[in-house]
Amino acid sequence: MSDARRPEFPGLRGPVTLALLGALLPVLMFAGLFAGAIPLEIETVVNSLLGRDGPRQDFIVLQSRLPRALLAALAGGALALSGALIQALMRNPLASPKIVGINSGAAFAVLVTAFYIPALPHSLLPVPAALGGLMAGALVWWCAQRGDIDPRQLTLVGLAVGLTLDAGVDALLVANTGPESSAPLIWLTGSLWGRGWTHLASVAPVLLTLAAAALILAFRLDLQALGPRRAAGLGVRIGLERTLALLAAVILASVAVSVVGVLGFVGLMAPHVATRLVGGRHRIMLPTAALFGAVLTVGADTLGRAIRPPLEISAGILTALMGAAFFIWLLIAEDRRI
Amino acid sequence: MSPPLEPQADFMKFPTVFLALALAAGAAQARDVTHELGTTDVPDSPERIVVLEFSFIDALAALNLAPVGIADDDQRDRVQPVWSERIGDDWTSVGTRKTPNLEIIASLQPDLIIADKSRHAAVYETLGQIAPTVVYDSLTGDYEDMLAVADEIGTALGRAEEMDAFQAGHGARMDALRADVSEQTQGDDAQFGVINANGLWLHSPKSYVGSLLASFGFAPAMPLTGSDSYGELYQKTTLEQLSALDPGLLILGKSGDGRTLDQDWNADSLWQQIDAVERGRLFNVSSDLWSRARGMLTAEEIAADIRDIAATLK
Repeated sequence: MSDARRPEFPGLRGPVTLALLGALLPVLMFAGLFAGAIPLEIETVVNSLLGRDGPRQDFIVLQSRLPRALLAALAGGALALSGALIQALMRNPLASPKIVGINSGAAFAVLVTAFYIPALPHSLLPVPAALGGLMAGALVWWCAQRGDIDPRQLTLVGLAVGLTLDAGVDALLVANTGPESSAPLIWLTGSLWGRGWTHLASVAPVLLTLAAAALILAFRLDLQALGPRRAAGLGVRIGLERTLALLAAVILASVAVSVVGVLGFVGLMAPHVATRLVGGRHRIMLPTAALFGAVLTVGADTLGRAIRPPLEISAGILTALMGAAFFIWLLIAEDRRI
Repeated sequence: MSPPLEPQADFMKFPTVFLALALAAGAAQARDVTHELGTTDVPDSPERIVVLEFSFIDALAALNLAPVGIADDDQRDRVQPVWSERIGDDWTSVGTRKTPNLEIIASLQPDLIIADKSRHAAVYETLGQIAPTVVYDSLTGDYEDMLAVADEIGTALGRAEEMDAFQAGHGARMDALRADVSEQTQGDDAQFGVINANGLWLHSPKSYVGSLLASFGFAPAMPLTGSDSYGELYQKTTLEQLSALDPGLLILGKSGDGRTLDQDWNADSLWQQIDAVERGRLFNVSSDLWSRARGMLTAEEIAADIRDIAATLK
């Protein structure tokens, strides 16, 4: 990756990478329609997609693989975007929705709802998830405001809030040991098993709107990256910009968590990869991170479906494995650079 | 899928004809079956059935019906030999009971799916997109509840009479086994639990095995209080708690040959002082049969185990 720091065509590097990732995503999603427990012929997939006569597998192609691929792309992209925003706002490369406690807050709220308000339809779970994420975020923010804590310490506060909420998640699982807790347990590992169009419809409007808003904020964030004083000097209203971007980040991650669970490391890994690929300017880095997160999650879900049928390996387990390996490599690489 | 509606006035003129037609239609068309999560149109004699819990295999095997797909946890030997004798081996594994593989289920082109209330409620609608799906409680409830669910499955399959006949024979066989052992077991307080390397889970008197043991004349070792929620039916128990319970007869369900917790406890005086251990009334059985395989055919297998255990009591 040494060339990442000395690009030959700095002006073109971002757009070209973005275009390549943008092309890779639909290709990967299309390829995923063929792979899985039941490998399908191209004819079968095309027949089902176009509603033509001949051999078809409508449920597998149209009700399972297609909505799952779209949902994986959307949720993976949202988590990555959230991570990129949080890293930028906290100016801390180790920050992510998981590290600052948002995932745990969303997970805790979803579990409370699932166990104690079982009548609530699954399509409404993004609401408590967003509230839980916002409450965790507000708690972290409140602690930070009180002590005028710098961004690095803010990560520690977030970690503490997240661990407390994780303990709450554990307590809920201990109190609810029956088979009715098996679905939440699978969901917690970050799984797209059993997900379909209804789940996609329940989160797509919010996620797409917030993603668009985040990309508009990206330009402002480029100024923020200079540091609060210099950005203020350039006319950026620090308080408002930060709050809006943080709100977007928190809700993006929480809503994604409400349908696909805690997908380990996507929010942490994608911004790093994006920065290495295209540099730190947010108007390029944010969409690159989002696309990379989408590619990663679609790839993990497809792989998880195809590795060892009839079992499904949760996408979250695969992203966590990849993420752990990536971070060990990153630490070693950073170490060498120093 | 509702039955075609014909102009009714014509039929009203000929009540006999109407009645005959209605009966003929009832025999040939889908029927509404009410179950735990709603009402489903089930084809009259489903032939390609996928079952997502073990107890549903038993209900099918009782009717000599072979499922095309079974959620066997990807371990074919969890399907009991007493079922395989009747359903053969020509079925496809659809993965775990927790997350059955929906693609494989769809590829089997089933005409009926039988799912569990607590495990599969989250994907009930998705399963319904694949095939008509009926949902029953497989995991809680006692022996009588299991019989009632089997009865409902018989009705759902359009084979209520066959199921009744089988249950009558089953009842008679169980009674014969009970008569064999009741003299030896009167008054003994018996406790069943599943043990592995991580823990011991005692099955309460209200559980499936608890109710079976009671029907064989054993007294319960655990108090009869408590709800019939999953956590109360199957209670994780420490050695101290077991010692306080002090059962006179202890049956431990084990899976495979792996190390189990009682081997560690063996050196502990607390374990040695448990009444059942002291008197040599400690028995090992298969947890796959006793704990996972709820059903009529398997209840007769468990009853045979109980008879063997009782024969050693004096």
